[in-house]
Amino acid sequence: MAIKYRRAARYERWTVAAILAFGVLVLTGCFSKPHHFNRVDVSHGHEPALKLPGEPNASNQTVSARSLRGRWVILYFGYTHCPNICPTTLAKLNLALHKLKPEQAGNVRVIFVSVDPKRDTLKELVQYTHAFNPHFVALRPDPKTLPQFASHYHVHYSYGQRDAAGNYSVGHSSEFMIFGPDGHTRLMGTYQDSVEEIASDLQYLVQRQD
Amino acid sequence: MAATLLALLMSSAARAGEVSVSQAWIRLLPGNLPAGAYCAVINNSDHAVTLTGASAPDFKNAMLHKSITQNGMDKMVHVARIPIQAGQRLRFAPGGYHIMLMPPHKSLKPDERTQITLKFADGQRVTAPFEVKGAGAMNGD
Repeated sequence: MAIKYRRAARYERWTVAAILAFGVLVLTGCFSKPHHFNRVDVSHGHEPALKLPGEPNASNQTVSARSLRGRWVILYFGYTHCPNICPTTLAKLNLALHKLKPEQAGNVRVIFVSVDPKRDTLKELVQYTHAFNPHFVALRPDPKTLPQFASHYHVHYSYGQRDAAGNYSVGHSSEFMIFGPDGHTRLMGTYQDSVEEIASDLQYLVQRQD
Repeated sequence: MAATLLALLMSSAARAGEVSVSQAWIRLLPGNLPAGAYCAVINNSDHAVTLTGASAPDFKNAMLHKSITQNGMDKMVHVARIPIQAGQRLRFAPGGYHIMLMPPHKSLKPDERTQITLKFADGQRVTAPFEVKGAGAMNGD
């Protein structure tokens, strides 16, 4: 009787301990905790899928959404005469990619699209983009197709007034968009994000798809 | 006359120490593209100073700029005056305040130094060497 009682008590203690442990696990979120991204998660929204106008890119090959299928793509719109926001964004993306394993970084393509194709020649655009990373792709849309191309991604831009020397600045949406290997938008970020934040999001995404 | 000169010299020496510049660097872009200059400007004095402009002998133009967000777009605006309160530090940093330099008079290379002079409303001028960095740099370290 005494033995039975002790066994039962021990059994109860174990049950209570198990329930408590389970509760702790649930409370600490060990079960099916959604990953918290540093960038804005847009994978469940109505963000546009990757679509490119099929313009010749850096190496004079046509860069198309189809040719990028299976890779992660970071799309960013800007212009080469931008001394602050664009180079800051591209520098941070380059540093973030360097925090990934080489094989992971090799699976990510950064595409810089000019919103100033009248001033940015393809040659200058390539030189500019490669100054950050030789694997970055420069894309110069035809000035006629740029409005449609940009609006597909809800990217806005406007040209400032020309100064005496003919220089002008261009205001533009500064978000970069991260697309998955299936061409769907996953995350959006900006130059205000830290290199570490961008890198940790990319690492998580790319790893899962390995 | 000598006393006036001496007073003037002493006052200018004191003034030179009022503002100091540190962590100064520029991000060089290829060709004749505009470069952005960044630094910390420290007001060591006990009164406010106002930054009103910049000049750089290696570039045709040097302008104080700030990036702002307006109607969902980021754009650069020229800033005519930037006050720095006593004992405060003003940061020119990627994404915020920057000195736009364009176009270069000569070809600069990373690891070189280029001089930039900051101008203040009270006539004070502070010249500092800025380290030339490549496109991918994010700070002057």
